[in-house]
Amino acid sequence: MHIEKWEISCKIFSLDPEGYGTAIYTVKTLNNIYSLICFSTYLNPQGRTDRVIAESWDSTFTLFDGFPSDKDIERLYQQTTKQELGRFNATDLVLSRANKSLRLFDHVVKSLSANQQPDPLILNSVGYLMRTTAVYANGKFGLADRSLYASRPELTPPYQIEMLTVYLIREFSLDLVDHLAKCKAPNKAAKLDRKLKRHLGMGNATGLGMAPFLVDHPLLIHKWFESKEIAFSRVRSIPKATNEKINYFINILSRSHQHLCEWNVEDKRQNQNIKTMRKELNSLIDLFHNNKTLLNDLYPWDTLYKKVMSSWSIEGIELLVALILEPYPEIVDELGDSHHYQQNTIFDPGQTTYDLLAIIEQQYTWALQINFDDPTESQYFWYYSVEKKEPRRGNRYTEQGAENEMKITIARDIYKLRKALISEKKNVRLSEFLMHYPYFRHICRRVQLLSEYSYSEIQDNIISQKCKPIDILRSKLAFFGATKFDPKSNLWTRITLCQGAPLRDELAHQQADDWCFPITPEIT
Amino acid sequence: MRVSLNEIQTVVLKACVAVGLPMGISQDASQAAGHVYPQYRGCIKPFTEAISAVDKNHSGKYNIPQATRGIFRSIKNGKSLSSLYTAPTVCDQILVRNKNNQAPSIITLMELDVPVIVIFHIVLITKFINNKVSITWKVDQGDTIQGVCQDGNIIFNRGGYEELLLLRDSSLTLNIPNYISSLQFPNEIQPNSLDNLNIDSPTWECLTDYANRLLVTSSDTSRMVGAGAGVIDMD
Repeated sequence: MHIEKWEISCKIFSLDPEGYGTAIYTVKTLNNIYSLICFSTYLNPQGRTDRVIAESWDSTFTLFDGFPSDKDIERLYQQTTKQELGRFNATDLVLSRANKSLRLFDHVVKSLSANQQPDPLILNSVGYLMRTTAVYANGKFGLADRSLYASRPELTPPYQIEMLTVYLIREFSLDLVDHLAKCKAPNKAAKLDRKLKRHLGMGNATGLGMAPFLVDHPLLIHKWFESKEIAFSRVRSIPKATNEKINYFINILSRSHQHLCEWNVEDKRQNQNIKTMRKELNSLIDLFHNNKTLLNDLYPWDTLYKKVMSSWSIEGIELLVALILEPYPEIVDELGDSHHYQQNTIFDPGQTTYDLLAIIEQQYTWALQINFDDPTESQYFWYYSVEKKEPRRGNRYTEQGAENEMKITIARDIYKLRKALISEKKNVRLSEFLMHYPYFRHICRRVQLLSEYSYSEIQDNIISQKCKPIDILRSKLAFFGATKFDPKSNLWTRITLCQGAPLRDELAHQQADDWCFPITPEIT
Repeated sequence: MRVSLNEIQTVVLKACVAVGLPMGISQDASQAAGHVYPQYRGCIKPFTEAISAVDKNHSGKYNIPQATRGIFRSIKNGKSLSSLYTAPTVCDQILVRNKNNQAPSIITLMELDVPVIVIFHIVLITKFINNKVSITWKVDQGDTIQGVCQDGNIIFNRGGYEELLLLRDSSLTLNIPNYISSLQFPNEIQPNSLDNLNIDSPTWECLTDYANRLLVTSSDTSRMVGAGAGVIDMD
C-alpha cells in the first residue's frame, strides 16, 4: 500500500445522526479499484453477540470489485445485511460484519462531543472501536473464488483481500465516531486525535474454525513458516550490523517492552507468559545499557539469538526473532510475495508401499509416538455444527455425532496407515495397495505430497485431551499480524489487527511502514 | 443459480463422504468436479446421480482381482459399478502405465453407473501427464460415443457431450496411452468463464442435502465454549 501509493477515499458517507446508513470507501491500487460498502444498522441490544451464530450486527460489509452502481448497492444491501443467508456474485469479493465495542465506542463519542479527547488508557485497554466476528471470502455464499483474482499482483499472497477489508472497516469505525460526535454536538465536538486514531485497530473474535482450515491447507502453512525461517536465516547470516540497524533494533526493543507492559489479559497462562517476556526483554535492554558494543561483533544477530535461545521462554524467543527481522525490510519483505502456492503435482500411485513407509518413519515420528490405545488420545472429535455449519469440537465419549467426524485426524490416520503398510508384507505399488485399502487414499496422498514440505504438518494430535487448539489459532493469527492476543478459553481468542497502522491519508508518508509494537500515544 | 467453484468442490466432497465414500475418493471427486464445473454445462448433475447411486446401494465396489487386470466390474451381480468408487483406481492405473511407458493397453469398465464421471476424473489427470498423452475412450450403449481426454480437455469425435451426460449403466473402454497427434474435434465444448458459474437449483439442493447429513447438532457444552461465548456482549 505504501510502496505502490494506494489511494483510499471515502466516496459516500450517508449516515443519519444515529449513525445508520451507507458508506463507501474506495481503494485505488496500481491497476484496480476496490470498494468497501458499509451498511450501518440499528442493532437490538438483545441480538448483540459476538458469536458466529448471531443473526444481526451493528454493521455489515462487502468488498466490491470496482465501484458499485446504485443497483449493486441495493442488491448488496439486501444480501449483505443477511450475511450467511445472503447470496453473492463474482463482483463481490469479501463479506464481513462487525459490532461496536460499546464500552469504548460510547466513551469515545461522549468525550468527543464534549470537545475532549478520550482517555488514552481506556482506549488502550480495549484497542479497537469495532470487532469483526467473521470475514468470508474465496467463494463462500457465491462470493468470487480466489482463483478469479489471485493473479492480480496485490492479491496474489493469500489473505490480502481479507486484510484489506479489515483495514477499511477500521477506517469506517474511526469516521463513525467523528460523525456521531459531530451530530451530537455540531458546534463544539472535537475530532478524534490522529495519534489516538492510529492506536485503534480492529478487534476480532476467532474460534475453532481456523484449526481444521490449517489441517486442510498444509502447503499454505508450510509457505508461511518457511518464509519466516528463510527471513531469519538471512538476517542471522549478516556478518556485520551497521549503527543505523543497531539503533533501530534498540529503539524497537524498548518500544516492544512498553507494548508488553500495555498488554494485559485475564487469562492466567497468557498473563504469566507476558510477564516472563517483559522480564526477558528487560534483561536484554539492561544488557545494552551496560555494553553498547554488544552487536558490534561478527554475525551479531546469530550471536544474540544463540545467547538467549537456551534460557528464554518460547514466546520470548519468538518475539526476539520478530524484533531481529524488523530492521531488515530490504531482505525480508519480499518473502511475503512467496506465500501463495499452487498445487501442481498429483498423487503418484506408482510409489511403493516401502517407500511410503520410509517417509512416514522418517517424517512422522511425532505421530508415531502417540499411544492411540489410550482413550484420552482420541478424546475429541471435530464436526460441523447444524448452527451455521461452523467447526466445533465434541467429546467422543459423552456427546453424539462422532460418526460424522471431520477427516482431519492426521496423527491417528498416520498411525493406522503405518500399521496397514507393515501388515502388507509385499512391497507393492500404492495403486495396488489402495485397491485393498481405499480408506487410506487421502492419507497416502498427504504423506506423499507433503514429503518435500517440512513445515506443512501441525505436529500435534488435535483429537487428544491434551491438545489446546488456541495455540494453533494463535499461530495463524500471528501471520495476519494480530496483536494483543487475549485468549478467552482453550478454544477461542480475541485479538487486535491493524493497531498502530497508518491511517488512509498517511499511507504515502515516509515512515508509514514503521508501526510494529504500537504503544499508547501521549496527547497534549 | 450462481454457485462458486469453491462451494461446488466443498459440497461434492462432503456429499461423497456423507454417503460413505472414503475421504481420498471423495477428494478425487471434488477435484474432478472443480476442474469440469467452469468448463462444462450441466456437469454437476451426474455427480449428484453417482452419489445417489452409492447412497441407495444401486452401485458398488469393483472386483479387485479382475481390476488388477484392467477389467472393472461390480463385485455383486445385479449392481452397477460405482463410477465414483472406480474412477480413482482407473486414474491410478493410467498414471502407472503412463509413467512406466507401458505398451498401449486397454481398461474396460462394465455396467458403469455414470460413465461421464470417469471421463471427468481422467480429463483432470491429463492436465498433469507429460507428452500430451491422450486417453481415448468409447462408451457403448446403443450408439457409440467416442472421444479423447488430452491436456485437461475432452474432445468428441463421435457423439457429443449432451449424449455422454445422459448415459447410464454402460460399458466404457479406455485406450492407454495413445499418442494421437492429429484429430478433428468438431464438438469441442466452449468453457464458461469463471465469473459466471451456474448450476440448476434442484442439483444444488440435492448435493447440499447430502452434504448436510454430516452436520451435528451442537451439545450445550460445545455451544458454551465457541468463539465469543462466555463474555459480556455489551463490553
